[in-house]
Amino acid sequence: MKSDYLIISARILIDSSRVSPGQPKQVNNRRAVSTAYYAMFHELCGQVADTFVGGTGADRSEKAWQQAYRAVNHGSAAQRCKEAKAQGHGFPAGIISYAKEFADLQQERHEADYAPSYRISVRDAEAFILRAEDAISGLRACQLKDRRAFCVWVAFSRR
Amino acid sequence: MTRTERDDLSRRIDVIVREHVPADILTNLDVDFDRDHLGEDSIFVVLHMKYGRTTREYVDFLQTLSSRLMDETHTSDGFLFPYVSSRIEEEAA
Repeated sequence: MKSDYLIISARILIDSSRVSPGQPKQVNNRRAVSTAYYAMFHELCGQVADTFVGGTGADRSEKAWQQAYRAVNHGSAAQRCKEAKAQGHGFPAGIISYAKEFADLQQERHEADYAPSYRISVRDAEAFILRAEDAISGLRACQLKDRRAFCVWVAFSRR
Repeated sequence: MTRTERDDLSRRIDVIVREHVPADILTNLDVDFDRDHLGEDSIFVVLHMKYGRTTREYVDFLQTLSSRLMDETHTSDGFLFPYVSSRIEEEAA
């Protein structure tokens, strides 16, 4: 699933919120936050698969690529993202920023998807979409060796 | 973490937030110590801001602040992850 399309989908939800008064607006805002998080999650899955098995156009096994894509677990990925800065691994700024936003957005998605009393304004939901978009761009701009190191950090547990 | 350490950290966060967010748009600030959805002790920083800037400007404040706060939340209980979010007033209908 392409993360870019998920960002577009989140924006469509926010745009429909702007023109639809009342209850659907909250539903759209909540779904927009959730979708922004999933854009970040699928970006990470794609980075893991591409950096381990090979990107589009590479001589790669599709089965291996799909297996790598599905190696990322939400909870452990957030935990590793939280640790990425704290433990001083020397990741570049783009990866640190991505890791921070991933953890922030996952927490917010949890509220948006599961807390009955959760409410969020169009502006705040839009801010989360922008944060996700910026974080994805920043990650993509990092060197391959750094992205691969981050993917190893996220996908493999330490013993 | 002692009560004093927690209060000191809250005050430090307050100062950092006010260094990064213009006073004319910041209406309130919540700093809470609680467990996150993963069950870990964390810090929740919520910025209440007035409507009036572009979303891009609000995001720039949040991103800079987010990055800065991570340098400050090492405590005697270890690193507490600072979750940062905003509550921007809705524009007038």
